[in-house]
Amino acid sequence: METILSVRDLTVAFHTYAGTVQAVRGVSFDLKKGETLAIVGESGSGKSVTSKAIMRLIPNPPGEITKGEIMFEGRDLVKLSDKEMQKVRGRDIAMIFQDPMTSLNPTMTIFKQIAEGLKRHQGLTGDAAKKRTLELLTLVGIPNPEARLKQYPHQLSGGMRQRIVIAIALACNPKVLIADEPTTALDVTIQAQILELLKDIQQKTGTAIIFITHDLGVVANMADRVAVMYAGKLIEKGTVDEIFYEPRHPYTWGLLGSMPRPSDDRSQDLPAIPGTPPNLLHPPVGDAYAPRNQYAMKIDFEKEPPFFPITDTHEAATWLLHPQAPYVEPPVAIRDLALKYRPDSTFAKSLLKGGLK
Amino acid sequence: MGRYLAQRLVYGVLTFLLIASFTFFLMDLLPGSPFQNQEKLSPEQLDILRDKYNLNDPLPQRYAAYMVNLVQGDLGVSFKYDSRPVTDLIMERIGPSAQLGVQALVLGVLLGLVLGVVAALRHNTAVDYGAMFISVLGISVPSFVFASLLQYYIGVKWGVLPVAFWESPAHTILPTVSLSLGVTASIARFVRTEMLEVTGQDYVTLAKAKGLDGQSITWKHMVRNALIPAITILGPMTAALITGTFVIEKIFAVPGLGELFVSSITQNDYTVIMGTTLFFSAVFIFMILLVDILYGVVDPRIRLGGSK
Amino acid sequence: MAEQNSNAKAEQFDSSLFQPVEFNEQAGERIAGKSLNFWQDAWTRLRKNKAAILSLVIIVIIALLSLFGPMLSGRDAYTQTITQAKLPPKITGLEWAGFDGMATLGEKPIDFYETKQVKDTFWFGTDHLGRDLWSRIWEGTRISLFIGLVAAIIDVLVGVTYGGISAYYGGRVDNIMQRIAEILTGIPNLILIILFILILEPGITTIILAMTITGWIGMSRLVRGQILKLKNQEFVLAARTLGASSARLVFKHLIPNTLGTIIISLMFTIPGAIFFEAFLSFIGLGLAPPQPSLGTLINEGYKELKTFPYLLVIPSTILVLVMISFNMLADGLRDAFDPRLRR
Repeated sequence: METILSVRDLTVAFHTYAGTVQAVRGVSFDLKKGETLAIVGESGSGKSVTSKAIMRLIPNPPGEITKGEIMFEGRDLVKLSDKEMQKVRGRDIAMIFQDPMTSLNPTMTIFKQIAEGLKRHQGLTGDAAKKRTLELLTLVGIPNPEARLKQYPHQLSGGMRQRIVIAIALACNPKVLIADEPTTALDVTIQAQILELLKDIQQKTGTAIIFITHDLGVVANMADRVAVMYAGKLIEKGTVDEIFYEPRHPYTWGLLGSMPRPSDDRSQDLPAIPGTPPNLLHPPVGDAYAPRNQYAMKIDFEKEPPFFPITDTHEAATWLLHPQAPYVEPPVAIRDLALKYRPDSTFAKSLLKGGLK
Repeated sequence: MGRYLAQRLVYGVLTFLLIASFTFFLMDLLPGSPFQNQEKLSPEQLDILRDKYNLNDPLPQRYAAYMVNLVQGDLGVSFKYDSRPVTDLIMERIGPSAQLGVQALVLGVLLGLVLGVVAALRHNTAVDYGAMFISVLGISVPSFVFASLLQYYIGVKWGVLPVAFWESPAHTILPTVSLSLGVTASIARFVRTEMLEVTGQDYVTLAKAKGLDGQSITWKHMVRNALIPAITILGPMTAALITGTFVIEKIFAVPGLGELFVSSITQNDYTVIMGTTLFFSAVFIFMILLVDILYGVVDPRIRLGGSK
Repeated sequence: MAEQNSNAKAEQFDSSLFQPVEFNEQAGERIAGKSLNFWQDAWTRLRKNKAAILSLVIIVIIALLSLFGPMLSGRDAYTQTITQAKLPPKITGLEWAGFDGMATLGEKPIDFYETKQVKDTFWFGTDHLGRDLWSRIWEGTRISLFIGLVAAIIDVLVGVTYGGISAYYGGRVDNIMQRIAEILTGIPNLILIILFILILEPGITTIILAMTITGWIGMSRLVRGQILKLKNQEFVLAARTLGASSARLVFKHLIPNTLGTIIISLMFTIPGAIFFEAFLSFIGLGLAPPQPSLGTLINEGYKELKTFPYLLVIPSTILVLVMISFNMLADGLRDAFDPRLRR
């Protein structure tokens, strides 16, 4: 599959009255045509900032892309002027946000809000615009689309509003859709519907999706590939199976381990990762996760680990993968997952042999 | 929406009646009599005059008479202006005051809007600071100080514009500008605050994500939403305008209601004081009602209700 | 296989670096960065707002001058010496700035001190009755500031109580209280004030009373809004669950969180009150002569505008400075207290 978006060493800083916050510290990843890439991380890990940076929607001041490039269709988006970027936004790359209650303009009709993009990028007006709008409303599964045209956002429910937001994003058939936690603010049942909708649309239109979330359940449901983010950096990248069944970074272990499962032994405490992410005003030396990492070694506090390749599709930035690193035993939950679901993998086999390497 | 309006209307009428009664009782308590300046009258003559104006009747009777007359549009007669009906006096002087008020309002709103929008768009730049400095000046410099200075420098010293009276359109310039200062400043500040508030909203970011250009976003998404709350300050602004006319008309010798009010106070012309007070109150209450209606019409969330 | 490659490419480090570090669970829980309480944070932010700090300084200077000004010149605000009437301002050392005792009568500037054969220098000149303007202006400023402050404080006290009770009890009590307030707002403020002043003797108490009659409504509405918002927030529910009594809720939780709004509103009310006083004096309903106030001084000055502009300009400048300073300070406070501006 060909790559349509390529981010290299993206670095974003925010200048606040308290100092400069390094929100994103050198993030690199590829997005392939038609796939869904999930970016997972805690609040404050920098995932939202990354997605907004791709669209060049970081307000400047106080934010600034200080380093890196975003290659899309042969051009570096970081270097484009705002005017040039306006042609990309909405047409080639579209975005949907978290809160459907505030994403829509309260004083504009639904029709106008969808048609704006159509007019701007495709020059559609009048009946042509109306026709296309109705098409879109049907595509996102809104009943009785005719009636919706003249309605205002406050007259619709949260789930419907999010569908409208999706319709707006898809209006001009973008090649990439960035979904920033689109289901976090919705009820669980509506969540499922929206996820189904997105998968459905992807099948029909072949749009690549970057899905930002902190919910591993959603990742399991939607993603082809996963990138795990912590303290402004990506720490593990792989296919969804590799991440869930053969994870290598202690943080990923922590995330997966803290997911409650019906099969869990209720007498045990639910393992949570102790502590909080570091303050990015003063980024730490070495591995940012080290203070919370029970597998930390001295080198973790002194040098930042580079990415170590595991397979063609899987890599992780942890010193544990360095040839000089000792054998470590991943947490029980991870062992169980690997042994149960992927008993034939190298990972599972090495666990049985007594330790990772 | 209809119920909402009906409710506001009832409040309006109630308030007006309250003010009318209140005014009546206040006037009753005023020391001195309207005939204070006619020292040449003997006590008996004074009594006859008082009888003539029904000033010797018991309180409840006078109150009732007052209210009945009020409903019929009769505000009594002036003591100072040769027994001319107060209503006539008011009607004569509405013209200049209304013109002055409307001109100042329109000028102030337009200028204020532009200033506020521009300041918000160029937030934290010299333009922003400059515009805000002007608006702080505008609300800190009392209109009468501004008017006096304008009159002195532009009117007297440089002789560019007429200094006083209300004879030609040119005569209206200085008073209008003086009166509009406060309006411009308040609106500029308010619009700027609202615009900044709107800038941070998700739907503005979404509009940008759609690839819309700056102008579209500013006018169709930001200004429209920022202006709606701005309507709410038009009510208190009317009050400020009315009180502004008191001093502006005095300084520029404009033959308007404000001037009438102020001079009737110094002359203890009770009926005129009461009449103009009531008139101003009525205008104010009416404006508040108008603003409420306008707000309901402009904001679709109120107009259509039915949030799910 | 992949392992083989990484072996070849990986740097070799000192093997001691791969020793595991003893895991300190508490280390991760440490909160980086000083935690400031609400007031410290607000003060830090306010300090960075140069305009606000400048305004604060100006207010303090003017306040001090209003208290000690007359003492500095050694003269009082009331003694009339007609032979020394209408002398322009003169400050030895500042003649180049316009404080030269000269004014233009007709065509030529005349040294009034020479003409009237006056040896003393009056820093701000004298008025039409020969009163020392310096003392008079500072005395007037003191009175205006006093009126403004007292009126604003009364507004706050009444407003906070009314709004607080209304919001705290909610329900019918709130409903009724709000209806009353609504009707009262329909009454144009100034008209009420003017009528009030007509009845009572013009004077400081009268003005203060008149201004506070309807001034508190704005404050009560703000306080009510704040408390309603807070009442429904979870920390109140949490405190209640932990067994806090009503009084404790009100004093330890609701009011401190409302203080920010109250202070800001207070800072905005003061210039409003001072303006009102000046306004009333200008239309002749203010303090009775010979009591000075910024308003009466401006009124007197206006009458002499053509010939002796300084009589108007100096008190006006002080009034404008006071108003601007309070407004800028209030703006700064509002920005400093706004939690959303933390980023």
